[in-house]
Amino acid sequence: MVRAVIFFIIIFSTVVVIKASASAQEWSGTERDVLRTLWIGSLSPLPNDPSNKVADDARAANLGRKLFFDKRLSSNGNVACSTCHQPDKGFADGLALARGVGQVPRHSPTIIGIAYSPWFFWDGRKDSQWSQALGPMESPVEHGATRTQIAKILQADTFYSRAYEEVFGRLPDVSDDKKFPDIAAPIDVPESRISWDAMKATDRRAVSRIYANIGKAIAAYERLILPGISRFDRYVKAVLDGDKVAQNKLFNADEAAGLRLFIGKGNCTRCHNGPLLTNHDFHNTGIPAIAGAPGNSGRAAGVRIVLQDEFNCLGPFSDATGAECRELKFAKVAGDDLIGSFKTPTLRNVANTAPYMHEGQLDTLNAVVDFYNRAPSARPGHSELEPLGLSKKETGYLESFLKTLNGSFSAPQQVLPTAE
Amino acid sequence: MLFSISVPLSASAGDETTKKPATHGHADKPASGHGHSGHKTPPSHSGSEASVRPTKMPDHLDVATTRYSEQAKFSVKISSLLDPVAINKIHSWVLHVRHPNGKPVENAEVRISGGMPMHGHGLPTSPRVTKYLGEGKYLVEGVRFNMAGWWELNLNINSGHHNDKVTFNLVLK
Repeated sequence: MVRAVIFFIIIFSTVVVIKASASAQEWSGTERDVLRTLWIGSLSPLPNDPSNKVADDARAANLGRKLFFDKRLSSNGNVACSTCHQPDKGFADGLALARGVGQVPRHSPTIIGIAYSPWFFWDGRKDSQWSQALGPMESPVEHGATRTQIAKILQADTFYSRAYEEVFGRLPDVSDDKKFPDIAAPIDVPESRISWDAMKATDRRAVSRIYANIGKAIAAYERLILPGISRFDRYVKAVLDGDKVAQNKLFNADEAAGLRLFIGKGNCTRCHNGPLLTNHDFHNTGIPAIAGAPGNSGRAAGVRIVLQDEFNCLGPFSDATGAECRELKFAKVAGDDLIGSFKTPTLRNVANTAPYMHEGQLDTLNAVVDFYNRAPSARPGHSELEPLGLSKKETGYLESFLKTLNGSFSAPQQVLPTAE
Repeated sequence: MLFSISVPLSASAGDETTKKPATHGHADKPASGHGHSGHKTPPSHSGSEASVRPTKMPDHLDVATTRYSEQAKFSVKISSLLDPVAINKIHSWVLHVRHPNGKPVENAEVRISGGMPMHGHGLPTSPRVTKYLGEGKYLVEGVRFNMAGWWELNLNINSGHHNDKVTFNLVLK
């Protein structure tokens, strides 16, 4: 008798579980439409970068790849782009705050798929991938280098100078230390600034041109690093194909429930939308700044910087026509919603790129989901979030779902990352 | 994209200026200041920008792309050059501004604002009229929406003789 009851209970609960997971896997027409927009199959071809005429030049990408991994492009010979953007760490660094030659006040975001973004850095203070690449190299806490030093390293290296001339034409001679001091750049470091100001305007222009071209080569490489196919993408494909068997193999009931919250009650797709799971825009989430953070006005400050930047889309080193700089020309420059707003990051590979937020404020996905569920008010500015009222179980589902977004990256064979 | 032109532009206007604007599906004239034309504006949401956000999209939201301005000074038609309108893509629109008698409004000054009433944020870009195309048509560049849902586009139109505003609702998927 006892055995019969146990047998019945097992059968009954199995039926319940199967039923529950079957309904968790049902998606309405509207939901399927939303899922399709998030699917990697909906990713449009790589957008052109009119400000970089070598963006799609394979020779530039090859040069850029070497530059990306070259630690000589730093003040202490120990820092390259790849220091903070490590291929085996989802092109991030696994740290809360980045470390270059000094302590960087921001968390390193992944660069996978970032070529689709019109804005760069958490505060959007750069408007192209090539211009972004130039920022860290002259930052006193990142590479700590100067453009003159970098131009001289390029010229002294046979591979670099040859590759540069193949892509960009004649490389001006910057070897004369009197005309081109080792350390010179228009940055907030007195030693660099004074020697930069003492240089002839034509020499400064020549160095900045080489420096801009180095950024363009690095961007030609970086833009080929795109997201790979995740389990989530295979699941959406199965949903769109109406393949229930594949759906059940790919997602368990918790993950499917998490996806339903992601596109519904969780409000996640307000900002994490499109196939890269980001709208590349700026939002105030109310995440508190870490103590001693140098500036948390976010996009409100970033937009002012980018408008002044000599390396922006409208500047003298850009290859774009004015009409092609629409994001910059029509950028929102004022408004309360810019204050304390930071760029939405992609959620692809999110489980592999902890910690989270622009200053690495949160260690785990669990903490992130909990934060959005509570939605505390912001300082400075106003949070766009509202508390979600999710149960413990539901936040767990969301977390399970977020772990299905790992798909690493894809890149053409000839530019696969290598630390040469 | 859920655009539908539900209000055919009335070309035979006559005494149109003295009448209430013809709104779609509702007889009430849009609330002044910050009205969501065509639905009953919650009292808390008319007037001040800092007021409480509506928690849901109104039933029967009027998504007409041709409307009269609030005081019926102008008839305005908007059309996106990106069709269907997609999120996260910067694009342009054409505004067609006419007097109620159907005659084009030439060389008006148009200011554009907008946002998401339920979220309390504005447009993510600063779109503006960059060109007068003739015959009452104006090119608006720099429009980008960054999420799905209910958006408002507010136009403030100054023809020199009249100043009036009009709000369009868009529901993006």
